[in-house]
Amino acid sequence: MNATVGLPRALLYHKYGDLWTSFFETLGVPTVVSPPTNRAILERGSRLAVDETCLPMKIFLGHVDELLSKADYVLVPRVASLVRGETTCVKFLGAYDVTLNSIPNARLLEYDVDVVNGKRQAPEMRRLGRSFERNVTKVMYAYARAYRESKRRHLEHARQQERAALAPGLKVLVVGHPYNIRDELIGVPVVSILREQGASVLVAEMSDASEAKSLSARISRDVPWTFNKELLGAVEHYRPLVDGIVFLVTFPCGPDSLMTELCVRRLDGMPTIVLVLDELQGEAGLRTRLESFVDLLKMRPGGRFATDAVMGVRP
Amino acid sequence: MGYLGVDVGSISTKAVVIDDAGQVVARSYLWTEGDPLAAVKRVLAEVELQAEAAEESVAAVGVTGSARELVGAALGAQVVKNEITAHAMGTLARHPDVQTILEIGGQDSKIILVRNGVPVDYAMNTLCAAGTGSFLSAQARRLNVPVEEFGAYALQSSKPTKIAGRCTVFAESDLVHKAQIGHPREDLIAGLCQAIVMNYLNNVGKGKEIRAPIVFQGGVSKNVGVVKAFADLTGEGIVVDEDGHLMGAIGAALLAREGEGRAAFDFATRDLEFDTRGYECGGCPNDCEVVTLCRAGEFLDGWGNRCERGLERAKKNVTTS
Repeated sequence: MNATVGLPRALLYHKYGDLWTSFFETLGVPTVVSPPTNRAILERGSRLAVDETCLPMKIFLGHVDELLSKADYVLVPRVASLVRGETTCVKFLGAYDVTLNSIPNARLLEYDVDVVNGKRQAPEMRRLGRSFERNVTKVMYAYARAYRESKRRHLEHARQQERAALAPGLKVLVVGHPYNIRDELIGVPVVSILREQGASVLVAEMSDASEAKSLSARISRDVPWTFNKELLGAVEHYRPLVDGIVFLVTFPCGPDSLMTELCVRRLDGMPTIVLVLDELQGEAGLRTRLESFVDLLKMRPGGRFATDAVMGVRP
Repeated sequence: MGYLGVDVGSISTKAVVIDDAGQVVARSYLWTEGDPLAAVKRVLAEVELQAEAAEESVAAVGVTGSARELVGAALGAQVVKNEITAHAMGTLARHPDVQTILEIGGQDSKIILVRNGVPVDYAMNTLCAAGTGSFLSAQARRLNVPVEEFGAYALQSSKPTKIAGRCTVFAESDLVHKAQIGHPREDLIAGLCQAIVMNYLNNVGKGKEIRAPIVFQGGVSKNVGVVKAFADLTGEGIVVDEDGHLMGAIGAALLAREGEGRAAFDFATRDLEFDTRGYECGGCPNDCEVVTLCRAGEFLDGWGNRCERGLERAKKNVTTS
């Protein structure tokens, strides 16, 4: 009987969740994923974190804490760089050590990805797999299968959205990291308020990451962060197809604040709104801003929406 | 027929009744004083008399402002709209050629850009209330000058003192320092008015093209010192409507007029007993703070819940207690 591996539903889970789940499953290692973020998880994370920590990291710590009693080990990879000449936000490099310092009794599993210094994901994850399965071939198979599977699901998802982007109707692009957009407390309310207002919501994710990166050069060549490059490219890709763009930023985030400024300045004539969320955010302010943003999109001249569409009548 | 518009803001509560032509036939403006339902009762009492005198009965109600959910449910409003849309509607009805709407209220500030009679862009202050009415009130207390007299003082100054307006806390220490080294009071006050405008232009108005005609409204627009600072810093004329503080309410009334919902509004609604109760749901780890509104002991509406269960529990809570 293998030990259970806990996957915190935060940060990189929203990017690699499918990969991890499939990898461990093929190796016969049971996994448990923490529940969608709720207030209690955030509060636990905030208590564990030092004050200056960003909101997604606080949430992450809450998820790790949540898993301590449910899993034998919790997976917390270090990801310093994914592509040569680029870097990730430091929290992905520091996550393992920050977690261990904040929760000293946590039993963590790690793997290191730092392409700039020669550490690639595949061998690193295979090394991790070897601690559960001694047969090298089986581990290689598990990784290859997980990689294929997660890539297929990502493509399916992205293609579905690219089709939706061509459909008629009011469309709003939400730009933010997957760990913000898919978080139950951060992005999910934003997306559902936009939908309630009658907008269809696209997120800044493309099927082809390298195409995204080459497109991002149209906005800026100098952004060093891989994930932000992908977002910039998606902004460039979707902007002719959407009526407005919502930037979803959590406090405090250096890379995002720079990227948002860049975009807002370069997207001339495109209605944009920047939402900066912190842990104290009430829903009222969020709703006011999003409602009026959608009203504005409906009223815009040249928009396909008549002014009378704005008159929201309470049922 | 008349249409009632109510704007319940953080600091003040406004109500108007407009007629079919959009003319204001009744108006009222009072402090919210932390009790929006009581404030609404008081403004309704005032507009009822004026509407009666003008022989207008109310056929539809529109509500806006930060307490719009609560007050909208209590009054059974046909339209409940956010304050940005309401302000744009109200201002456009009175100033059809406006291109920029500046608004500074008690705790928020916004800018709405209008081109060819249609709002095309807006921005609102983010987390912080620096550069809003409450900032001025705080500094007025510090200088021991009633905030209503601020404008008159500011106009006497020819050399406004530079004051850091980014943060209320820093502004206060800067203000005290400048006072201690001998800057006269009128220069300090004019400096504060400029600080508020600088802050507004750098934060809310950042990157927005401010084109004339410019209409300035919200409670702070009553301060002539701030109006002058806006005119100086933008180099444009600033229009302040005498009903500028009522624009949200006028917009809400216009939205009610445009909407389809009609139901004769009985001003006697204000005599009903409303009762709000807040509690933590406890149904799941989110522990939503749910607020319920009851009229004469009967459940009207509730909000703050993230899921339907929260409201179900709220209803049960009301009927069993």
